[in-house]
Amino acid sequence: MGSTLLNAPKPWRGFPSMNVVHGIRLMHRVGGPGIALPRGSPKGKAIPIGTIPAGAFVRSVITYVKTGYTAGFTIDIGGNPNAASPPVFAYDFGTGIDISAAATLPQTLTFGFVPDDVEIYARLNGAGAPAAGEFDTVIQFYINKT
Amino acid sequence: MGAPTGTVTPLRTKPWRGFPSVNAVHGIRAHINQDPAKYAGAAGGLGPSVAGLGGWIALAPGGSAVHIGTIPQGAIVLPLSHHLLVAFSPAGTLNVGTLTTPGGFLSGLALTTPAFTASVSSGALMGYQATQIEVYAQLTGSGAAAAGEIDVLIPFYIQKD
Repeated sequence: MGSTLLNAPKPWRGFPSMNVVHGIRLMHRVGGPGIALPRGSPKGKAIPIGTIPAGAFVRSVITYVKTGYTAGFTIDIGGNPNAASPPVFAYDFGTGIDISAAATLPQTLTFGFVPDDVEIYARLNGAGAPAAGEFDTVIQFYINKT
Repeated sequence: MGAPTGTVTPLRTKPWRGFPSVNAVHGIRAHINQDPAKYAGAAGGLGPSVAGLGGWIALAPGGSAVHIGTIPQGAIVLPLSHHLLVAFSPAGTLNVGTLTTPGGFLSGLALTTPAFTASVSSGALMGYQATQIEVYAQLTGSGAAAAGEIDVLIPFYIQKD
């Protein structure tokens, strides 16, 4: 309970018929627990963080930065990356999210309904090794259609 | 025996389904699609899931309000979201609410410009609800439904922690 599988594909997990908002959480701590996000510049490696089933409705994506990272560090969150280098996400949940300072950062979405199974990835972008940094991202979605 | 898993049956009352003691946000969702061919034969989503692509209802322009779900007594209704995927033809507006307050959640929503809209909190039925709420959706206008698709999500919380 509560353990995080590092860098492994994250399958869809939920209750199929419950009237409940599901969620996927990305937790990252420099030198601490959470998912491992290898930094890179200009773009880090995209790491899977979860899956949303086709037909779901994405309600919101919010990133909470508790401790700022080195200036210039950002994260990208998206679904279904293509084969380009760096990959481009078919579903953009947030690109270039500034994590350099403590903040609450709700993302502006352009979609709610997703007609595809969406495998969600995150990448940590920036040069050098940050001495500190803590952020959490929560993606809320709903699957039932009443 | 009831309908197969994942089937949306629009012409009956949808009971409240949830976990009464879980610290989770519940919700009611209606996916309204006027094109019966759009998802014909489409595969469902990942299991276990009843999301699928076939779960939707159609609304007749100017027709009766259709029950889409039940919010239990004592719930607090949170800001809702909607995603207009396809503009409606014939043009009309969408009301989501109760039979006595048809626009209690969404009142006269224009269905012309596809967009995702979050944090809609202007409805009269937002916030604490002292009684059980039966939620209905109704499409205004007239004529035969030709096109249109919208997804609406009404989240709410029931536990008093």
